[in-house]
Amino acid sequence: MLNTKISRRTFLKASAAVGALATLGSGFTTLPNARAAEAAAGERIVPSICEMCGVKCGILVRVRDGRVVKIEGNPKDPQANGRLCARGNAGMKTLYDPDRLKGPLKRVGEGQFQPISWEEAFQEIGEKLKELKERYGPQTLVWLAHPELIAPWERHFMAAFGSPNYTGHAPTCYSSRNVAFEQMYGGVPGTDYANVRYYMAFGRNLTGGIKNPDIQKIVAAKEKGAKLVAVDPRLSEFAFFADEWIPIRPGTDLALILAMIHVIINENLYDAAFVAERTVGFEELKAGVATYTPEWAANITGIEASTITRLARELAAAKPAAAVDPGWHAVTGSQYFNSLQTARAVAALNALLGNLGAKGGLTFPAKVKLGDPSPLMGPKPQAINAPRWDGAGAGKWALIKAHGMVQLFPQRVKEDNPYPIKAVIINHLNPVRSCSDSQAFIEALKQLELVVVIDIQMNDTAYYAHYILPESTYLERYDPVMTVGNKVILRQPAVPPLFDTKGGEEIIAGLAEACGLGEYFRFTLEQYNNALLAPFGLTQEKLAQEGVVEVPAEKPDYTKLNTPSGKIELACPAFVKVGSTLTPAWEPPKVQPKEDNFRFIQGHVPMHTHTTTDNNAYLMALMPENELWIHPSRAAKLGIRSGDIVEVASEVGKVRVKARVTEGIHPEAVFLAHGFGCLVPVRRLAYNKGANDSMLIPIMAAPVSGASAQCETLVTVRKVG
Amino acid sequence: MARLGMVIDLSRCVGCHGCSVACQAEWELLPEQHFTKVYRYEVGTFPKVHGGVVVTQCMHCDDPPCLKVCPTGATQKRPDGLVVVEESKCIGCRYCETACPYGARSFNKERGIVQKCYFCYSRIDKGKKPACVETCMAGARFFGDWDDPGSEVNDILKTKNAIKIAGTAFAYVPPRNWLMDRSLLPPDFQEPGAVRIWQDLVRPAGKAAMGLAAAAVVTSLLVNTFNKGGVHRAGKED
Repeated sequence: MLNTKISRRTFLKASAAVGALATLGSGFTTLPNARAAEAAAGERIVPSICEMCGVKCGILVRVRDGRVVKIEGNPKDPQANGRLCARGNAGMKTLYDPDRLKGPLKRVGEGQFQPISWEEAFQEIGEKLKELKERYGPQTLVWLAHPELIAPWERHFMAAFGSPNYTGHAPTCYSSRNVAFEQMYGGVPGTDYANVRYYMAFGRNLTGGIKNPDIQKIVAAKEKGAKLVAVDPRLSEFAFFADEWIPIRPGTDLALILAMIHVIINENLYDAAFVAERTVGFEELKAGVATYTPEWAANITGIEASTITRLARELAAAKPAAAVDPGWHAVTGSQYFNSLQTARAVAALNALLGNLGAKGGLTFPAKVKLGDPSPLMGPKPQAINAPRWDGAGAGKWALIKAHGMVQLFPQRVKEDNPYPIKAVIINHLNPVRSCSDSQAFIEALKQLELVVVIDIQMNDTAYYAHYILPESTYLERYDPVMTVGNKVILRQPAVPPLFDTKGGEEIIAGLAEACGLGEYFRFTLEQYNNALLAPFGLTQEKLAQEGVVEVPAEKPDYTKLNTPSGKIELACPAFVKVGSTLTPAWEPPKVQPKEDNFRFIQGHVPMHTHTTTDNNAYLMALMPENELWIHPSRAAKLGIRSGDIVEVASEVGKVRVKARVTEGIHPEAVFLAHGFGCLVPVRRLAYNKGANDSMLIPIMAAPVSGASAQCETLVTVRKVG
Repeated sequence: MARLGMVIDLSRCVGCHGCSVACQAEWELLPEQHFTKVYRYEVGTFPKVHGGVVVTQCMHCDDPPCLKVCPTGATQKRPDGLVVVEESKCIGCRYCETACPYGARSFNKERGIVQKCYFCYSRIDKGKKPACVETCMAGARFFGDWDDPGSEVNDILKTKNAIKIAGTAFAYVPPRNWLMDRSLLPPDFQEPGAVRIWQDLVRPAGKAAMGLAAAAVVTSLLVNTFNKGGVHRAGKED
């Protein structure tokens, strides 16, 4: 309603200006410029950082009469380069969302909340946390987050509290890729999209799961003549943008990559000098892929052997400006049981191309050494001996200490083993819809003695919280400074908070104070930022004026990687220790659909981010619901036509959604875009629109990586309307 | 005199809808109002399927039918070719909506007026680019003067074999990965027959007394060519 009022007011103003100028009676048909007149009157531009997704592009926020009217890319920012996606452009609709959280809330019944003051909320939460710590030990508290700029503060809180249980979203996103590259390369490289000459994406939907800087670069590379190949069971946004779409049987990408390695080694197409100098384990890799012929892979993938051989030869011919994308959430990230092997194979294939550090290959980012804020941050927290709640970092999960297994939370809450979990604080994460099995997650939340959610909106998880602490949106708050390449960038408020909300740092410090941990947080965010910026003679205040400032950065040293050998480990003993193979090897996906069911696959769309934008009026108008993609041959057998309502059922849940019959999907799979099917009535635009994919996905943990393996889900589909 | 226009490079466009929303924000549009639209298409049979996007907006026709039917003179053509609406003169009769061969007009139900892409005249008059051009991550949009042989739009028209949409200010560079069917692009300009009827018969009377009934008659006569082009709107049913 707020929007309505304002746009009327603006309209009236504009009309008045038009009227005034019209009386001048110019015969020339130039329209009067009401906006220009207003710009002179009270417009200011605030440089800041976007938060409509996790990329954090630099933005320029146009504020007129105290109201954000437009958001543009900051030309000085290396990521935005003056440009923004639909979501970044729609940011003001999140700020002025009439359904957003407007003050702290306390749960008083199912879906019922009453306002509570910040002081009371902190006090009650603090008392409860102290009581639970006393009764069960500090490890009874778990903190779940999509780690953002404030993450160091969250970790500091947990360290001070004495719990090892800070847990991110990795297994629903990128665990497998990270584990593979951390062990084999000593870190996760990016792709030099701008200079690539031949680019292959296995499931990575570069133009669907959008990163603004990557889009700008890959389009530039395409313009310069790079060949782009999309391997995907679905005609994704990237599949139609690419020069070639390889419509692979879902879950079998690993076979295709292993066969490409086989061809490149057997035809001596690899970079022998690079392999000799910068890698270890080539002979083991060669032996390992000996049986993975293109003919073998053709049977598994449904892609002709001649195509596989051709792709391998084309890729190798373009080396070293040839890259296979390490990916994010898809095939190499988390979706299959064999995702880790797939990511390892991608890592090995890139190494054969000798592309690490080469123009158009894989690159590590430059590093900026920020100042040390620890002298501000109180006493050094005591070492924590308790094991993590999810077992990450020990035994068969030794390689995933940094990633955890957030999706196992519902099972672990039931088990009480090796210690009970009684409290959770959840910040900037909506695990009810971002993890597996929504219903199980809801049940787990109901079992806990304390659930605190920090967010800007009443998401599906907040709906089951005992306390909801509303964070100010990114247009109303500061955050710790960030670095991109050789730049430091600041998020700062464009407008003061519209409602009774606080910055994340104030909320965390408030919670700490209430738990008796105030001594760890006797510093402000500005002091913290000043400490980070001190080496560059900068302060938060100075950076606030500039928005983006260039600072010295250290280039990566590709000759000394952070692995035991200092080189790329094609044969990697670390994987053997956790029960896997020495070199990348074929593993079939966990499940195999038959004639009467489908593999369920999911992914992102360009106009939405996870479950965070489904109440944004501009973005919901672009895509108000998701649809179930189904192949015409399968749809015909089930009597399903585009627009029909179908029920999709898995072993853990059912959803209803519109069907979209399309030739752009493998007949074995059905696809649903992630980010729809909001379960909370108070978010009026989002509520009940489309289907929630997480409702269908059973709770799983893939071997070694602990990834949540969303696409190892079988579903049946039937027409219901 | 200049003749401003746009080239959209469909080999670069990724279909992100950034243009649509930048435009909405620039003009403070209602969520359901899209001056720039992104259509997604798929052609072929699995596994040989081609797909892509076509983005459209007001084509800034050389001889705009919307202007002819406008009873108040709110719709105007500037000497530089821009078709604009003097919003204070618009009475919301919506005749222009039905006259537009490209479905490019958009009714603002809160303000009771019909709007459309103005090529961001308020920005270009200050030397800036239209909002859709400036925000485009893919750099798929080029804005310039068709009458200037050295302009970027003319350069792209020549070097990238762009398809000029006759009678409009637009040209498209087709995607490079397949031989795109011309029918997926907006058709060359053709004046809807009913516009003539409207201009000759209805308008003189209509100026004095306008009613929705008259509009309904005109609506029923008009054919919106592009909307019938069988193009699938991304994220929505046809």
